[in-house]
Amino acid sequence: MGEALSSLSPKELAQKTRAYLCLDCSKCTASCPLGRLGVTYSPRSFVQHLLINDEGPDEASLWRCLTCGLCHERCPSDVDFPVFIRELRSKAIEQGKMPHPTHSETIQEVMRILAKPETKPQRTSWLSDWVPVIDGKSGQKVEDIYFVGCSPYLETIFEHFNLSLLDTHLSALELLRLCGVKPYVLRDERCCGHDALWSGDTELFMRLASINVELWRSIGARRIFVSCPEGYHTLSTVYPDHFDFPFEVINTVKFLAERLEFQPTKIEKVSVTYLDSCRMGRYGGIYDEPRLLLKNIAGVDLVEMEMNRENAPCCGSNLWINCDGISKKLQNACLDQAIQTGAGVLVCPCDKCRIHLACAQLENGFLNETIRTENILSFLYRKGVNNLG
Amino acid sequence: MAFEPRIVAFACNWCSYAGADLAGVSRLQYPPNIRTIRVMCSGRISPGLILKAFEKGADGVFVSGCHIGDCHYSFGNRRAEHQVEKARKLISLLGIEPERLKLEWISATEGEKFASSVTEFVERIRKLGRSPIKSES
Repeated sequence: MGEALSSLSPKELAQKTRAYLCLDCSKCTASCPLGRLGVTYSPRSFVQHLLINDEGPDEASLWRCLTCGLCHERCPSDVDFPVFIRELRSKAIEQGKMPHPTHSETIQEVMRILAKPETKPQRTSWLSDWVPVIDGKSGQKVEDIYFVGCSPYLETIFEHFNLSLLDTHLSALELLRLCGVKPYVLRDERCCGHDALWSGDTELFMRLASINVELWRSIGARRIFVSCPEGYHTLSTVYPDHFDFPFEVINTVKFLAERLEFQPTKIEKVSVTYLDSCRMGRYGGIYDEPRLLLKNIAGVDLVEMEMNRENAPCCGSNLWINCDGISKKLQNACLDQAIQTGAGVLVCPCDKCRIHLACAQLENGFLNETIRTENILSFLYRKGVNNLG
Repeated sequence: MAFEPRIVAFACNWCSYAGADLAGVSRLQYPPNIRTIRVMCSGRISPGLILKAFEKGADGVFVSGCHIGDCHYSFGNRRAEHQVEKARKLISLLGIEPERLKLEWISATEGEKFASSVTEFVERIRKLGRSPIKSES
């Protein structure tokens, strides 16, 4: 759904996203993480007003939605409110409206530069020597590709958070190698465009996506490994709607869960908790695989947060738009839940969640104290394979 | 047609913009390739703005502010230093030569320095040629 949807009227859109089947139960309003913190946000009445009044959407609510998908998850009529919002945003952008970008639009600018066909990114210097890098226009044919995404840019922008975002990919590649897979990294790959798509900039998304698809085609890729939950969601479910898509998109964590075995070694006990990020859990349905992997490491004690799996809390911010005091409250609420488990490490599959949580931690003045966040792949490699503390 | 660099120059209100003014009233010559944008403080410059300049077609970006210790807002230029370094790393990742971004401290009395550093920068960009993210036309 996407390109075709944004040309629909609100009424047709309501039909497509099943909003007409709304039972008026207001589960969505009660579930919305924004509502839990005292902001009135009602997906139900938002849609209702839009359909009855014909005045166009209330702008504050239009950009406010976190697209976390909790309302969709719980809706008895399966109304896809996030997609409804996404397509309304696309319309709003076409009319020249804009959400408020965070970080003075730096990330949006990175996307816009990457969307130019002339751009030749140089972002592979951090890779281990053994990782093969391929140029899209080299004429070489390879089957397996590892999609890095925006991490090199985010690591630069958020270097002061000390999150080692590139460790995620280094670890993923090492773990894949242990399973006998040695994917290539594509030098001129673009970011997946997830944030452009969900903040309504469909045109920018399409430009990024078509460059990527063209590159994969030209090197004859067959399998694409993705570690980032947002990237996985976008490549596996959105790209195929827009392009002829002969590629198999593989989630690294899911792939490893079926193959990776850790050697039982003597290891000091460590207690961890796991955050189901929205794109991994509610959007991707990947709940059991990461838990299985964590439990397989000797000495790891997995304790669940009060809200977990389908009900997992939101990291408070999304798409690099509209960050404010409420985002901070959501981040702190998420951290509080993690701290209450008594775990020392909050393992998370999404590095953007980690950035948002670290931002709140830094503001509270206790970055890396009380609880530390770590990407699941770095954790698996560090603890499970290298047995490091 | 010969390549003429297009350069965006950010100048802080209190020092560098006044320095540019002084260069003007002193009738110092410098190449007309810069488009000067006055900002209240160099600390207001973020990687986003620098990237936007490149995205919109700049061949180089010149950021100037008060000398360290002279900032009208105490530490704005310290912030500018961090932001420009971050932007430099980002443009390198995006395949734009880091030399296309320059940070210079220019006070209100340094009209000559303004003219000479702009001249030097324009020559540097002329040698580097068109921005690699721009099409030929």
